[in-house]
Formats: sequence, C-alpha cells, structure tokens
Amino acid sequence: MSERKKLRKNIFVNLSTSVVLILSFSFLLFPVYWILTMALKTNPDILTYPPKFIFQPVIKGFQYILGLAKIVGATGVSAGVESWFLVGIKNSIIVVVSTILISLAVGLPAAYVLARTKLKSKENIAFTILTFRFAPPLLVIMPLYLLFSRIGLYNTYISLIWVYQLISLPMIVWIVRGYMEEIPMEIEQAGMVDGYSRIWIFFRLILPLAKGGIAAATLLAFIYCWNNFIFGMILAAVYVQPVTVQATRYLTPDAIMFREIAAICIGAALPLLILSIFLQRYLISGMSMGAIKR
Amino acid sequence: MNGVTLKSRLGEIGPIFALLPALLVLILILVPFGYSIYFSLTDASLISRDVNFIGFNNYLQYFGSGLFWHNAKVTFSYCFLVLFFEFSLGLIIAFTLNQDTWLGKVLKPFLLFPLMISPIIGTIMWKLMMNPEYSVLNYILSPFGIPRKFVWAGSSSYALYSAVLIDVWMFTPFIAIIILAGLKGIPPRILEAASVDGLSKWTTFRKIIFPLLMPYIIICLVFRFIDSIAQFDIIFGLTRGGPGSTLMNFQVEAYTQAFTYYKTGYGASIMLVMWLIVYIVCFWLIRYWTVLRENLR
Repeated sequence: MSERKKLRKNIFVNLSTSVVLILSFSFLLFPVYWILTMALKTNPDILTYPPKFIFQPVIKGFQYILGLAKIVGATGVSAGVESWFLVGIKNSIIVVVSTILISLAVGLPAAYVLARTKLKSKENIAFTILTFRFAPPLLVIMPLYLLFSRIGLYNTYISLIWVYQLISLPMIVWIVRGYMEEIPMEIEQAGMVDGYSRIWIFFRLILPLAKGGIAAATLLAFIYCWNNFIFGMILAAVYVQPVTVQATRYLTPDAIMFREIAAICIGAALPLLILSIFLQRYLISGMSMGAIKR
Repeated sequence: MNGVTLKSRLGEIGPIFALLPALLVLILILVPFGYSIYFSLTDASLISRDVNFIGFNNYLQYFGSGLFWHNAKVTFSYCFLVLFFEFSLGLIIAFTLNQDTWLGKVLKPFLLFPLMISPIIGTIMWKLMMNPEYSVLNYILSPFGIPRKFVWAGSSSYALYSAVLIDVWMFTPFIAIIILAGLKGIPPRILEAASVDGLSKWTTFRKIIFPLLMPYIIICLVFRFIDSIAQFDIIFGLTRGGPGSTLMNFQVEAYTQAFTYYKTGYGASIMLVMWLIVYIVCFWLIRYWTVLRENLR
C-alpha cells in the first residue's frame, strides 16, 4: 500500500469513527439536553408544536421544587410550597449512603475471602450472593410490606436500607472480588513473613491496592440504589420516600407539572454527577481489572 | 503441636467469620423470600387477614388461564430486543471510543449521563417527548417519514418498541463502559504481536480481541438479562402495562395482581415463576463465565 493510499484510508477510518460517535452520542445526549430545556421553559412553551428550540429561559421550575416560589397549576389549583424535592433528596442521601456503607463493611471482607481462600464451596457462595440480584424486588417487598406494617418498621429508613442491600451488596462483592483476585499473592506473603496478621494485611495492604475496584463498585452501586423507585414506593410514605418517588407527586390528577418534573430529573441526577466526577476515572480502570478480568 | 492444629483450625474458620456478616445480611432478605414462597401457596390478600392454604392452585390458575404465556411473550420479546440493541450499540460505542480520537476523549465524560437519570423520572420525560400532540421525537424524525401525530406508547403495535427505545437509551452506556474497560484491559503487546505476525484487522478481532472480551460480555449479559427480565420502572412509568395488557410482563403483572386486585398470593406465584426462569438462565451463564475465566488465566 502506498503512503498516500494509507493516508486516505486513515482519514476514512477517522471520519467514519467521528460520524459514528456523533450519531450515537446525539441519541444518548439529546434527551438529556431536552429535559434540561424543559426544566427552563414555561408550560405553554413545553406544550406546543413544533417544539421550541429557542425560548426565553425561566428558573421558576427550579425555584418551585426548592420551595422558593409558589406555583399555580394548570387548572388554577395552587400546590403547596412544601419542597418534596428537598425532602426526597434528604431521604435518598440518608438511605443510599447508609446502604453503601453497610454493603462495603460487610461486602469487602467477603470479597477478600472469596478472592483468596481455598474453600471448596467458594464459587457456590459467590454465586449464591449473586443470586440475590435475581430475586424480583416485588417478591421480597410484598411480604416485607406485610411484615413491616405489623412490627412497626413500615415507613422507616431501616426498612429501606435493609432491602437496598439487595441491589448494592451483590454488586460490590462481585466487582471487588474480581479486582482483588488480580492482586499478586506475593504482596500478602511478604506481609505474612514480616509477621503481620491477616487483618492488618487486609486493611493496610489489600484495601489500598483495591481502591480502583472499590471506587468503581461504589459508583455503580450508588447509581443503582439512588435511582431505585419501587422499594420506596411500596415500603415508605411521604416523609421517608426517596427523591425518585417524590417526583411522582408532581403528577397530580388535575395537572402534570412537566417543568417541575424535568427540574427534579436534573436535580436528582446532580449528586450522581458530582460523585461520578470523583469516581469516574476509576470506573474504566477499576472494571478492567475487575469482576470480569481474565 | 496443639498450637499448630489450633492455627490451622483458625485458618479454616477465619474466612467463614469474614463471610458471616455478608451472609447474615442476605439471610435477612432470605426470610421474606421464604415467606413469599409460602404466600404463593395461599389465597393471601392485602385486604383480608384471612389466609387459607390452597396448595398449587395459584400456579395451576396462572398456567391454565394462558396469562403465563402472554406475560412470558411480553417479557422475553422485551428482553431480547433490549439486549440485541444495547449490545450492538454498546459494542459500537466502546470500539469507537477506544480509538482515542480527540472527539472520543471530549465525549467520553458524557457517556454515563443517561444512566444517571432515574428510570422512572426519565420515562415520564420520554412520555412527553413521545406525546403525539407535542412530540419532539416526531418532529426530529419527520424527515425519515414519521408522521406528525405518530402514536408511540399509546398504540398497541408500538408500545413495546417505545419501551425498548427508552431502555436502550438508558442502559447502553452501562454496557459500553464495561466493554470499554475490557478493551483497555487487553495488553498492547498482544495486539502488537498480532500486527507483527501480519494478521488482518478482522482476524485479530475474531481470534484475539473477541475471546478476551467474552468474560466482560457475559457479565454484562448477566446483569442486563436480570434487569430487563425484571423491568418495572420503564413499563410502569410509560403505560402501567397497557394499552390493554400489551406491556404486561411478569413484574408489572405481579404488581397489578398484588396491589391493584389485592391478590398477594397470586402475585407471589407469578414472581416465583419468573425467579425460577432467571435463576436457571443465570446459573448456566455464570457457569460458562467461570469456565471462560479459568481458560483465560
């Protein structure tokens, strides 16, 4: 192949890569952009055809969900100023952060054991832990709903943190375990020779080395827990429900407040965005040594 | 002598102690699960305290009424379409991002955006974007022959595809990022060796890259399979299983039976049938994955 042909081929490859990237990212990002514009539009601007790409932005939607402004619904019904959004954000933070901390506390030692021991049944135990992700959420929630109402746990943070383990624990154990398997045995053996205990080795050697995998697992588990809807919808009432359920409060029978829901959609994604700014760089490196590696 | 046996004993028990907390947490979840199995054998109802044991009647009714076949059809067509499109698009995105062009580097931080939007709220937003009166989607797609008032979720012929579209938008990034991690994990020297040996791009892909990616693909498949078989938020948010019963998959059907018709026992039996299907499929997938991993080591 002559140099020129090669160059032409390179340009073609680069061009087609760019086209594919632009097309696929337009599909992924246009709805996000559109939701953002809806949050900044007036209701008549949202409910119109052809859709408005140029409009006068207003921040009424954000003010309203933050409880800073009163709004009058489409039918003239005025909705209260209580900020369901802030209630929801508070609840989501309490529930999800506690869930992840518990999952890490019980999941990291388990992941280490499953990565290192010669227990014959370890593959079975690992699989059993994963099977908890198979359990359809409703199967666990229905009896818990009845049980919790009887023992007074209905509508408490504890009940939500309890069932959220179903999402986060298997994810953390599986991703971190795969990551820890890649850490060379020699490091621990060296620690053993120096006379350190297993526990010291786990905390001082293994955990720092596994931080990429732990970060990746934490980010994914956090996203999945944060976005969960069904647990909060069934097991809790107004003042305990997470932000995902609070959003549906703006679907009132007489008015669907699309602008406010759009604002919540953006607002609820912000904590995830902030977290991912810190953890995203671990996501690719963490996963590539992680769960899944050779 | 005694010390040695004690130490080796501890060596056996120690790991179990470390596993114990995790297992304990899971047992707390196993209890309600067991309770559900019992429920599925009764006529338990959310509105009555009277619970009678009725054996396998719920299951017989479920399979006998033809409802099972309808739910299975919806669930599996949804699952198949979602997996097909998400894996195709996810692979394409991962491979193009892996070229490390400047455009790819600019776009990569935005890849996870759809995943960060909560499925239920995102679906409500999509519903508006699909609303025949104000659809921005119809507007954008009009050059491709989509009529101005095209009905997406509201029509029984397109409801399934509408839900699939939302799912593909939301979860393709999950697959793309894991496959990308897999691509980054391939040691460059292997690819250099292939290029030195004069293997064509296609052969390199088929014989080297693809097998190394396989474990990543399988694990993605497991997670996405579980989630799409049990999809609730998107279908519930979009049409609550409608129009009619067009989108009634196992999960939404069980919810409707349990919380709309108050037939908790019946709902539980539907869930258990679904759980068994997922369990069997995942059991084989994970076993295959374990073998692959051992071989690649």
